[in-house]
Amino acid sequence: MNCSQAKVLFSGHLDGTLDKRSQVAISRHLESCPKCLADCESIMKSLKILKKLKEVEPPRDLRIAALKRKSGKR
Amino acid sequence: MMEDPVEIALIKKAKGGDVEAFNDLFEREKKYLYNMMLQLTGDVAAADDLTQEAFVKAYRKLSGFRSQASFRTWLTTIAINIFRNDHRKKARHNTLNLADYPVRDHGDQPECLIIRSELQFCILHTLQHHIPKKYREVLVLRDFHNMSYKEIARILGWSMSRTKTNLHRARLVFRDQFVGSRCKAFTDKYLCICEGILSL
Repeated sequence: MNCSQAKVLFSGHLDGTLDKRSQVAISRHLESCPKCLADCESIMKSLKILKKLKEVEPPRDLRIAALKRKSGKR
Repeated sequence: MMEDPVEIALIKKAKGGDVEAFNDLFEREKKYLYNMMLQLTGDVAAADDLTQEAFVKAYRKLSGFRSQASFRTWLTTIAINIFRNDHRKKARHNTLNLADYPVRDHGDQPECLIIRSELQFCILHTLQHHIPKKYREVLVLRDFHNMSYKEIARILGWSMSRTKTNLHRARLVFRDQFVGSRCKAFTDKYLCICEGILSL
């Protein structure tokens, strides 16, 4: 596996969605290629930051206005 | 395929004209959809409007729902189309307001709360201003809402291979923009966060 082929598999590798054969191939490549390993790790770190975005509560008055009128809900 | 028996029952009732049943579906999904819209638009008012619009459209189109996907997947498809057709002016760089993105207080020091709040701001800011729409969509669905590749492909109307490729590109763009952003508002006002992030 060369670097271009490996890069295409980074996301699947990080998500754990690769088939066994691809997973073995990418793992072997990352063990032998410091540049790809660093690249893959930096994506993983930025994803960790991305996932720090917390869910917020929707506004209390979020309603479907059209349905509220029909159902008579307040 | 739809498997949640409560959801199946609610949809059946709502299809039969039971508005209360649809309201229950709304209550189950509103937090998810509001957050998705907020992550896509970075704007609380737009998120509110688009969430309502998506539910109203879903209500009108409910008779066409065939249960081949979950209600959430179907609703998200409608919501993404509404987001794509939303032609309101893109918010200016300085219109995001930290107060709109409160974080839970776990008894942290005030400085930690501010930093966490700023981080929320920075992530939304990067998504809104530095990530193209198509990449933002796939990032939000996969990395915030854990949708499967198959669901994302269905929602965005992409092939599986296009979904994988775009997800990879989206993550690269996010990494490069978040780490290397030259956005003035971003770097000037939130340097404390960026300094940490830049050490990636």
